[in-house]
Amino acid sequence: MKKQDILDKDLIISIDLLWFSVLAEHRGKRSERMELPAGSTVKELVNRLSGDMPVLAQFRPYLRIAVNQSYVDESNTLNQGDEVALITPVSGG
Amino acid sequence: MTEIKNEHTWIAIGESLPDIKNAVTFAGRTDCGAINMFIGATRNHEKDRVVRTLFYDCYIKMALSELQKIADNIRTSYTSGGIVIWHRIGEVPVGEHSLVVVISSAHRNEAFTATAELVDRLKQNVPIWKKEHFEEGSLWKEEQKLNLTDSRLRK
Repeated sequence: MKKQDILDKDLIISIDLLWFSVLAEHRGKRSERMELPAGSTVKELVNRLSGDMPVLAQFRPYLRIAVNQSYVDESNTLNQGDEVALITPVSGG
Repeated sequence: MTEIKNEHTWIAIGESLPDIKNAVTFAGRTDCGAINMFIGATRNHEKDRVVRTLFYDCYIKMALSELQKIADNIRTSYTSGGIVIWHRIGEVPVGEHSLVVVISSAHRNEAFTATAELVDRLKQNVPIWKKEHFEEGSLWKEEQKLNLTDSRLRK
């Protein structure tokens, strides 16, 4: 592996994004892999997604984020291989 | 059906649920004088709209882990015996059961309170979503909360 390849690999992480409910319908899929700059926060991810997904922007004030199946604060930093789910208000029962 | 079953809790999520007699048998303990059951079922109306059927989406892996956390917490807070939580996903037609919760306790008041609190916490935190199919069209519950309804329903 060339030195430049190692550096690039360190600068980018990939995460698995999961979609459910109304957001899955709008996105047209239930999961996707996404590449992000290393050190990205949850907030930065949601901002980026909201930019081209108006429905996400509408739900933003009520949205919770789960990383690896636990609710997290938006200031959390994402890591390589994280499973991230955007949780609109739940309605089980 | 996906489930977690151990000495104290039986949590299951699936398109069909076991016979509720099994839930009562599992939750019962010789030191518990009360076994309380709550069943959630699909209602034929929501406010002034006729409901034809319901559909539930679920983040199963996280829902199981959240339900386990809730069950562990309830057991500690109310010294419950056995706890059963079953949630159905996919289509749940009118009159059919979507949720079964059974909790045993030494005395009835603890069992009543523990059941109510568990169901409240499930409704707040467990990643399960309900879509209501009305005669006028279909809406997810969170769309109705945001009043995103007009463009999605036939007048």
